[in-house]
Amino acid sequence: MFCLILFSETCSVTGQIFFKHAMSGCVGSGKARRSLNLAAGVLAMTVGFFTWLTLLQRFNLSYLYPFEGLDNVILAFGACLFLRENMTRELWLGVILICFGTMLVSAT
Amino acid sequence: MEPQNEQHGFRLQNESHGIRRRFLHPYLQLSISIVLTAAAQIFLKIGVDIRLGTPGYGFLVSLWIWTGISAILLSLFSWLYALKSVPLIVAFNLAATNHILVAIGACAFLGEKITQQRWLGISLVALGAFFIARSSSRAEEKL
Repeated sequence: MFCLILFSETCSVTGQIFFKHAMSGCVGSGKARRSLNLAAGVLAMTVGFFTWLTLLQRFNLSYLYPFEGLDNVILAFGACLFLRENMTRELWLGVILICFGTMLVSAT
Repeated sequence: MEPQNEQHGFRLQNESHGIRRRFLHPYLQLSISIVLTAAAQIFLKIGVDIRLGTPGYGFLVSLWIWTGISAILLSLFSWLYALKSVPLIVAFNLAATNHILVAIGACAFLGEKITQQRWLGISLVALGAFFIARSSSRAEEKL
């Protein structure tokens, strides 16, 4: 079940990144590239959305929504991994708080 | 007679312009976006609960689901509009309140029982999202 939740979150983050690329990205790259990014974003978002709906059917909203906080963790962590951002103390604190919070919620 | 009329018309136009400008205030749009995002989750939850009996994706036809989807789209537009003038970090910081809003909404409108432990967890997540805002806004800018 946690895999499904994580999958849904990852899909929405991926979608966001694709959208971002499509909207702002590289002026040099052609129109085809842009629409490809847009299509990939829409696809990822749609898959994430349907997974989310399936999850919503089974769980309470107050149980499920805190996992959305993992979105931020994935995004910031991913930026550190792939964009070689510095791990600041703030980031660590946030990551620990969110993980601990979701753990508390999932234990109920 | 005519110039007065014209003046009146001008004033009316000016007033409506003022209301419009107030409505388009970035921070108001940001709050609208945050509230709509929370409301969308509640609409979606009501939608899937109504259709619980039908298997598969029969719930797609539910009006609640479509209300939720439009709320998401609307919130996206006001979010993008607000981001034109609000710094990303401030927007992300404020968006962290979303977790609290959804919990309150689930409690008030869906009748979900939220234990103390769950409240604590939700608050921790919101606080964490607040702390992480700086790095995720930097990540957004770079991506």
